[in-house]
Amino acid sequence: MKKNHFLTLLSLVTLVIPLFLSSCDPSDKRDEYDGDKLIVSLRNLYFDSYSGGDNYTDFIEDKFKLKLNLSNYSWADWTTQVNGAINGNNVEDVFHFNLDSYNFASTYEYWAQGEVIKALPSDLSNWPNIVSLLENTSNIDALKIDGKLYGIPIAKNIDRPETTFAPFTYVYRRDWAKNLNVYQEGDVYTWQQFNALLHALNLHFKNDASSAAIGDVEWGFPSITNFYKDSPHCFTKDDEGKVISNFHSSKYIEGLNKAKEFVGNQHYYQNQYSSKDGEMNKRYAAQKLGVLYENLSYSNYNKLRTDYIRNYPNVDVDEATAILKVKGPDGKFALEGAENWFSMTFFDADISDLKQAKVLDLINWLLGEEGTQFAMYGIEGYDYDLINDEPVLKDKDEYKTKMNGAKYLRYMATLGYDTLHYDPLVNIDSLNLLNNWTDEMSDALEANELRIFEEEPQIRWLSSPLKNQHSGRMLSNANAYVTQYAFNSLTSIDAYVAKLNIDPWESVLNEINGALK
Amino acid sequence: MKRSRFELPYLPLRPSRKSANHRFGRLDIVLFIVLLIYGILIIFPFYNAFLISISPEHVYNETPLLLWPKELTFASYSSVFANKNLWSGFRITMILLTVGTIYQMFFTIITGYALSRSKWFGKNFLMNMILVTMFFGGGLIPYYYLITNLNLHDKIWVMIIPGAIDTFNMLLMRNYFQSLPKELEESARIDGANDIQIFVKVYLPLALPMIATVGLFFAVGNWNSWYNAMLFVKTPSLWPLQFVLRNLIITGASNIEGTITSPDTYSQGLVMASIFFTIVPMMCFYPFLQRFFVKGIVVGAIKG
Repeated sequence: MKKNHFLTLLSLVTLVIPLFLSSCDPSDKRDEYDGDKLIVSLRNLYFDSYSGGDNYTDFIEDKFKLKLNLSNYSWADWTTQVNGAINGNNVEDVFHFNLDSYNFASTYEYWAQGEVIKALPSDLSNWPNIVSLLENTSNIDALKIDGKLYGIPIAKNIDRPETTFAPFTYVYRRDWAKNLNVYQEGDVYTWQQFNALLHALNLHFKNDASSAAIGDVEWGFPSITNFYKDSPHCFTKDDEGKVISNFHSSKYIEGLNKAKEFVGNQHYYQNQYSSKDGEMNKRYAAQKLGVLYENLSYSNYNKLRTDYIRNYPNVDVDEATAILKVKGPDGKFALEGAENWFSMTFFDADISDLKQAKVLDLINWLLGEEGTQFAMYGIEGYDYDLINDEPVLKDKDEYKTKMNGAKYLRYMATLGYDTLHYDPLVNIDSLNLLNNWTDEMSDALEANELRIFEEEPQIRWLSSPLKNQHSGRMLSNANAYVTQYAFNSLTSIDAYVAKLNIDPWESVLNEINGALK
Repeated sequence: MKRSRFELPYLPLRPSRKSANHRFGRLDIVLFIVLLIYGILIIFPFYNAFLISISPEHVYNETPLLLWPKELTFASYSSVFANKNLWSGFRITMILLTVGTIYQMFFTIITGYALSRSKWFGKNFLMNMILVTMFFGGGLIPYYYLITNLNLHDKIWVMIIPGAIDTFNMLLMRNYFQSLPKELEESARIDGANDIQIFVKVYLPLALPMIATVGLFFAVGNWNSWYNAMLFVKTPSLWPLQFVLRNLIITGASNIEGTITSPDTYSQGLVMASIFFTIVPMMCFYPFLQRFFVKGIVVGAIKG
């Protein structure tokens, strides 16, 4: 073949291949089988780099006659990846999405009404473990549209459904407090004692500009306002039940002024204003902070303790990471409510009833005793032996590095907290400390010594035009103005309010109040 | 030898003694200091990142802005070299770098050449259609549909096929071809060469400097690419290096609730070691190739 003929042929082939490819249509959602197994695609944040194909997924596939195509979202691009797939009509059969966006209610409503996602069957009696999970999920009714639930929300802690508060609280250096003679028995501090603790720590650090008495995790600043405010987000209610702005309320402004005072007295870490993700944890782990405000989930708290043990073997980790319990000016502990808003498992609207039912079978089994044991320990005789009816791992070190697909699949329905009691790798010290704190706070709630602040679900999950359009921006703007005021970029409360009022608070509040009447 | 009146005057290759004596005038010293500061500003983040990557966690926590190493550890690099995702990312990026660059070069060169020729039906229309894409994109959703209908999801080709022609690079090639004398084509035609022979044997060898430049642009672009992988590639073993790095940096730099991460990980050291893992290959080649960047742009910009 002549060279020029060859080049012409090559050019033609190169151009024609995409045309052939374009004739393929992958959006067909009819049930497909691999042998006798129904093919299901699942995409989840918690699969890490796992994509199946081991003993565990083989076992599940054989048991449920499913062929699992597993893939994962990357944390950084979760929203873009899901929205891209939904807008491009190429979403997986089962997928997981972040409800973290403040204004997710409108998206959820749009997906449900626009037939992007499929509702759960109205009769869930075939899946008792899922029913139990939903019953133990707070504010589940807020997620229903026309009586239908369009997915399975993450259950924060199904073993302890009474826990209606989030573990967003303080850890502190108990050993330093003792040395400074401001330690209080049981780590319980009144508001005055807490102020005295911060003052003493501040004096302790006065010659070290890189250290401070207190630092808040980046999303939590200023945590001091928790002891004053009624809502963690934009909206709250006044005594007459009318929805009002949280950020304009006199209670919030009182707390904000207290935060400003703490910043002015240099109690707060002075670069808090511009701190990066994870910076406060690192500063605390570097012994540069006396008190840290953080989400003390098991994984965060255990990491903090592990960092201390690794880096400062001579420091008593229990003393260095003690959980601080502070009573506000009203004499009560103050904690944010725990809504199940973190993430949710959805079903593509185009999947068949059969496929949805089979996936629900799988989730139901994974939530049961047998499935949980399988997810946590693996296969009996291969990964563990039953000794006195208790599973005992054959090789704990090997288990640490072993992928277990069932564990990842189970995270579709729960964040994993409920499996901590079963997890052979759990650090029992960290878990016990957190459980003790939870018990104490539950007792305080019963004794009316704990105030839980939360945005009411009917406000949070209300979808209305102005709220949908503006509230997300209003929240992020308000948080920015709060920080600017605390750090004196906005010098007066009038300047702070004037900045807030650039956004249409009044019209949004009028709309919400009208809709809730 | 007597010089012709039309000859250029002799230009010394070296600076004269006079200019050498004035090499470090006051202005030069000021410029030197400014450029030194500028250089330090550019180099220091790399230096600091390197120090973090070889320092133990407690050293970094106590002094995030390290000026010199206090304690040495290569644990972060051990973790990086043991990370399968980074190696598979490296493999994918090498495929993009070679196959992708050749593929893009092929289409860019032939399109640039065709559009540089003087007369053919529809040339201006096609040129304008291509130019429009420099200023207006089709948008993410149509692009997503296109990729879906091409059945390119979760395939390595999704990171190669859509980037066949980069308009800017194609314009550089076209302008370069236009700058070559048309007489070359006419004389080759008299010698009996057909269109493809004229392109392959006459113009292509003359365009090698521009091909090197555009090739370098494509190669750097392919080395840095991650966006298409983020949108369309689900399988971690198909992720390019930069996307693996992006995930590592973002998950490593923050405490992310719910992700399955080891509490034993010193995330910042791992992130910095990973950054070095990804930039060292480019840093090795770039000094030798960077002259093509400037040269190529200048040469390609002769004609508009």
